[in-house]
Amino acid sequence: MSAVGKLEQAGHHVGESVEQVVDETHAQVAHAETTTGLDHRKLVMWVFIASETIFFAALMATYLVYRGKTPYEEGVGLLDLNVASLNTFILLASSLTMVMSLQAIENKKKGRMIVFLILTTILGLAFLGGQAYEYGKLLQEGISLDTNLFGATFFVLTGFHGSHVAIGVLWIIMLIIRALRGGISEHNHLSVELGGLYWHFVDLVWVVLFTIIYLI
Amino acid sequence: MEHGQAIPQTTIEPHRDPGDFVAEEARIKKAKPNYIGVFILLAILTAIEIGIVSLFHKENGNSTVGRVPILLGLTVAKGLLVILYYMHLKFDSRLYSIFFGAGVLAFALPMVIAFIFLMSPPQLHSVRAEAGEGGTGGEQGPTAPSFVGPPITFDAEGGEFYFKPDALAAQAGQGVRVTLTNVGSVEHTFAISNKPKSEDPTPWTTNDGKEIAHAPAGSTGKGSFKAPTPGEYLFYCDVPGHAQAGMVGTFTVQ
Ligand SMILES: [Cu+2]
Repeated sequence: MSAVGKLEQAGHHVGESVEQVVDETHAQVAHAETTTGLDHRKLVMWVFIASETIFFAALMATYLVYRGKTPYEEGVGLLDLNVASLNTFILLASSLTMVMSLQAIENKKKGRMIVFLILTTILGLAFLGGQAYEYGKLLQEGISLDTNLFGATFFVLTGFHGSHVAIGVLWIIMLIIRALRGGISEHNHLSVELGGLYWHFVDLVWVVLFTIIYLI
Repeated sequence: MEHGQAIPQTTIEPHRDPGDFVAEEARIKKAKPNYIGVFILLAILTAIEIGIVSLFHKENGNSTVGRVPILLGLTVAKGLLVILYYMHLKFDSRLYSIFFGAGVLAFALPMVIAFIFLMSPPQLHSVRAEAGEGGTGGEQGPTAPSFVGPPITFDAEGGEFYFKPDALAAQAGQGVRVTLTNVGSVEHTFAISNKPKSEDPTPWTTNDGKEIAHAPAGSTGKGSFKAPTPGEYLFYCDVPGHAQAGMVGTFTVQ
């Protein structure tokens, strides 16, 4: 279990540093003139997402390589497709509410944006609840991080994803607080867009994880 | 001097204008993507994936490898919907796509492929070897465990001296998760025979079976196992005397 703790800690550091970059650059409200004509904060976010993709690809590849090395009934056979499916719909819905919040602020509807951000937070927490339930069931069946190859690869992969969801939830809560304090307006909502990009990326990773863990 | 002249020229270009960011937003707004429509499409694609897995997990005992490309295709479609619409890449500057695309195509994808090719061969061999050993003739043979459909659940009630229901059916290689609820006043178990019924009609006397779940009086026991090769088997309570008294059920593997 200590390994999971370390992994989550590492995940938090990544999240913190990104948030720091966002915060620091947030100070300069106006979009500075750049050589590309684009906002470099957003470009940095995309570069970060690309690097995260590579990181998750390594974890997924590891999972795929070791898949099938654990007897079915001690590994994949213990997973519950119903819980995972429900979680998939929850996370897809949270992407919708997130994008709706961005659209709301673009249309100068700040209250509506906050409502959608709150909905996204609730859905994100619901996903984490589903994952906690799934983990509980597996632990009950005696599968943990150090039981077998399935346990090791499954918990590392989904644990990293789950910690990304948790970071995303914290990020969105910070956006809500910032919005309530008046820090977000229709002219200055890049922070919502960046938070959204991160959140959709986490959803995107789950779309792939759902297939490789629960479907194929 | 030439450089000095070149710079002011480029700043006049519309896409270098600081207002370009605003223009870009206007473009996204103008495009007005139907986000709810995208969500419905994502939900439908997910439902199709789940449908494929739960309905067609094993057709006539054949391998389910064939469904993998379909599932991967659906996944790619879902991923693209998220990237293009929710993450706005369809409407944004191509530079973002280049950064992200480069990450995926130049690093992530080759790495996944390399991992699988570098680390898989021994694994593939062992699966083939197993299939050859336990193979039932030259046909399909047992499929790799990873391609068997989702496990089935069998919730049985046990008491003095019966199982309810007293019949269970599964596909060869399929995972079966047993929950035995003991409503009786003594301990009961759920065990399955190792050999088909025709070869060993009383596994409780030959002791040739394995206990899957164990439930003390008034509580519930859980366990799981993988269905063996096709045939008629027995499940029974392995507490001495219970099977003889009637705690027996039939277990059919297709
Ligand atoms: Cu009994």
